[in-house]
Amino acid sequence: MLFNSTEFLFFFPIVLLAYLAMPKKARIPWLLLASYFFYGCWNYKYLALILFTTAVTYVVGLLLGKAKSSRGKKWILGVGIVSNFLVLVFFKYLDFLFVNLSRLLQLVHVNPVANPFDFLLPVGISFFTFQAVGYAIDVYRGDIPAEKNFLQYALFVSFFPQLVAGPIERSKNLLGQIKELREKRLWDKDGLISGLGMMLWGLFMKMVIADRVAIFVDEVYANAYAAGTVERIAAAIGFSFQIYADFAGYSAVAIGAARMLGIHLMENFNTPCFAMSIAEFWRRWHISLSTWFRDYVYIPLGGNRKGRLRKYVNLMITFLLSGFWHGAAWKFILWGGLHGVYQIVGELTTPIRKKVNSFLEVNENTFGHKLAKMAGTFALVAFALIFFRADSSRLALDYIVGMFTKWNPWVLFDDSLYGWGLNHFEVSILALGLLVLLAVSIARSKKGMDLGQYLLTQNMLFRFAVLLFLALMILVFGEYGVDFDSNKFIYFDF
Amino acid sequence: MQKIKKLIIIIVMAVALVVCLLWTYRVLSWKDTSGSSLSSLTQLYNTDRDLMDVVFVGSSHCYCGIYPPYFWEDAGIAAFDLSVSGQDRNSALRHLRELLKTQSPTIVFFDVYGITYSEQLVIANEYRNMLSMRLNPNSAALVTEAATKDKWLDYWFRFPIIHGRYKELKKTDFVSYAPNQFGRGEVVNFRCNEYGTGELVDLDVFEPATLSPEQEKWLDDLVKLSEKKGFTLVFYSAPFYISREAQDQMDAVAVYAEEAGIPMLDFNRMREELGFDFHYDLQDPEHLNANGARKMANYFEEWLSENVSLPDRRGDERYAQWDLDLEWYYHVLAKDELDHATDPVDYARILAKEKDFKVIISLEGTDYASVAEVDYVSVLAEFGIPGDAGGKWLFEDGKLTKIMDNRLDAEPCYVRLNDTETMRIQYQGDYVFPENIMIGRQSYSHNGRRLAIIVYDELLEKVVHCAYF
Repeated sequence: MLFNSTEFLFFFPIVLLAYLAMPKKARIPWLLLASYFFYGCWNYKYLALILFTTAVTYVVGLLLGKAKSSRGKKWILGVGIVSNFLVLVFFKYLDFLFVNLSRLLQLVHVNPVANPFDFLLPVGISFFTFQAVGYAIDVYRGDIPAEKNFLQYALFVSFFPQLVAGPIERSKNLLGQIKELREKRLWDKDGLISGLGMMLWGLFMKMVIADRVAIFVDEVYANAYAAGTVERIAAAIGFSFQIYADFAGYSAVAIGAARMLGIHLMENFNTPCFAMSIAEFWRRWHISLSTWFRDYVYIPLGGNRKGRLRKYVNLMITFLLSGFWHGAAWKFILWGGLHGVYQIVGELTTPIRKKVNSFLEVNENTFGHKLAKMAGTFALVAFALIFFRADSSRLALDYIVGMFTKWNPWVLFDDSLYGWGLNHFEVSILALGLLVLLAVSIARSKKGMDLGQYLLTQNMLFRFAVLLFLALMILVFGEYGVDFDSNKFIYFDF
Repeated sequence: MQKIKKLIIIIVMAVALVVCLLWTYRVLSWKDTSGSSLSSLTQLYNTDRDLMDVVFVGSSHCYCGIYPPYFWEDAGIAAFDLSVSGQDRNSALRHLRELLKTQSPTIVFFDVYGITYSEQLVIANEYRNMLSMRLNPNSAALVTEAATKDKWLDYWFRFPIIHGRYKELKKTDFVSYAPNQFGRGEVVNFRCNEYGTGELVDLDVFEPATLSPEQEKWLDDLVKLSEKKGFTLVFYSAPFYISREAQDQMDAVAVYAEEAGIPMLDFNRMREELGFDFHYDLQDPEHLNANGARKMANYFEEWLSENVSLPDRRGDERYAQWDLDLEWYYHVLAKDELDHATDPVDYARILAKEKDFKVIISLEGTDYASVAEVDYVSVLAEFGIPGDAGGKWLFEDGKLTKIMDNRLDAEPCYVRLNDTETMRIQYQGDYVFPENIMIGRQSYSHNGRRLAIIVYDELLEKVVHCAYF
């Protein structure tokens, strides 16, 4: 079930209203049931996977809580992590492994081997697996006690707003709140308004901005042979906005829906377009994943505590793994690797850049300088995303070569850019959407609060006007309905 | 007090939300604004209760071949075409149920050609049939009968389908389309079939097909509905180049009808008897034109006079829509005549006899009498304009008014055409000044000719013709 589907339009109000009206002790079972229904709507057979992950990590948590020796704990954790990651590998990476194994075998003139299993990738498997594994590690570290109530734990793993595309919640944050649901007062007007605001804002980002840019981006990538430098650059920039609006939009709906249910999910995006370096970008982009990798991979590897070289090796490992998490393809590994390289090169060149700035007497505190840094960071991110968007790493390289060799600036003046799926009117709607996004991002940056929270600081009329505006924009200009078939959130496949 | 204040605010906001949503729906909703009456449901909704005496139900065969204005003009019969393009079995029955909510016709002629198909091959026709009814239990039931399950929610909510119409919105989505206010369902067309001919079925062959259980049930449902609602049901099939398979199905319906005691008028079988000429009477191989519709009307009128007693409704104020519809028919007829008038004098003569046309006559240059190829004097005489006159004139309701002389110092003149359109008439010089006659940003000026005639139809609220001589 997609957030932007008619089914969800029925599903969520029913779940919410029943949830608000029912006795306190029925809340957790109800949300669990709703979450399984939500996931089962996509493919009920794969509910078994969630149950498996839930059961294994639940037992691992209990065993870790009882284990006395450090060695025993390690073994229990190891078994828990491996068993969960084996499932992930089986469903997500097996095909990739077989394809590459076959290539290697062909190099030594051995017959290739085919993947004997042909399963659909379970939606959101990377998200709930990481969330459950994160819980096991937290219990192992003693950060939280093992959860004894199975229903509460099962809801933690499968809480439907964030089940299939995050944010990847931490046990400390979400599990604690789930426990409190039995006692919490839920008729919270502020939570409902701010949650609704976030849901509408998320749908606006997804349906008005992301899916509209996608029309242009898809057209250029599908017909890259006909695209010159300008179209390719425009599509690369467009895809950056698309993936941001798509994924941040999903996260906003998830955060909003959870907020209406009385649960505060962690922030997943914090105006990443305003980042002035790649390191800062990763502190603002997909925060739940980047902090997961920081806490459970980078720091355990030694982080920056074991010298500069080791730090860079750790960074590369973390980013390559992060890339691989996004998909079983070399292009994702290259994308992750590129970000690792960006960070290392950025750090290595910092002294030189400082010297150049000092020599040229550049005031680093000016808006112009900050803007240039933002633009530079954005350009690097957009460039790397070419690997993310292209169908393969080879096609990504072809795309990049064309970007530098098919110089055609006249298309900026002869209207031919409007021949790539978006006419003047659609571009105007998109521009309006991006302006709204910019305004909300600036407000977010200045006020330090998301749109939902910001609405609570405003008077009722303004709140209502904003909600109405968003609702009507989605209703009329949202990309959805029968003529629209690309209505999937990009991050569902991860 | 605080609580009451909050309650008031909430109510106001809820009302504002509902108003916005309804207005948005109204603008985006599927509606027939093409002028082709591809669905007459809007016209049905614009008709007061219990006015229709005779209803014809069918697809394009119905709206192309049955002209209610003929019935009105000849005998004062209040007829209506309940027709939607590609009206399938389920839709036809549901549309008729929708009509019967407000109308109590004495007789319903049902074009049974719809029995030959139950699924829509063209998505636009699916939309027309599903979406032109108002959202109510009847239209919701049609969705479950005619659409696949995965589309139900889309059709019930409608927005997933109609919201994309923001790309094609036009004036008639914001203000009502005039012909939908009075139209009686017909689509007037004078074109003769130029698409070649099909093969005529052999009328001596009578091999009725076997009706499927679904087809029989459909016919049963129609008969039951007629009994329940108390109208006389008559099956008919409009003439066209029907295929052998389809004719066999019509024959099967004829057999069914005979057993059920329902009259069946198969015009394909009567084509020779009624003298249908499929070049002259069809506009294309599938549909009748005005000539064919005339023959159909003659037959139906005779049949009605022999079988049913119907009142003559002419003169009854409640039936003003039928008067307007007839007038509209004459406007379309006049436009067709204008389209085909090659002689300027004939052209002027047609216009001079029409009411409800605002005719702007603009003369630029001098010495019209000396031009050999156009008899300007005779043309102008039709409107009562002196042969040696120049300037701009307005001919309306048989009256001639001079708008302005061709003087460079003359102030521009403005003629308000309707709520949103104004014509600006000015003189900046002869023949080649495109801004001399403008409606909005569109130029209707002389095109290098001495005489420009612009015909604005007040009924249709648009320029229906312009000619330059």
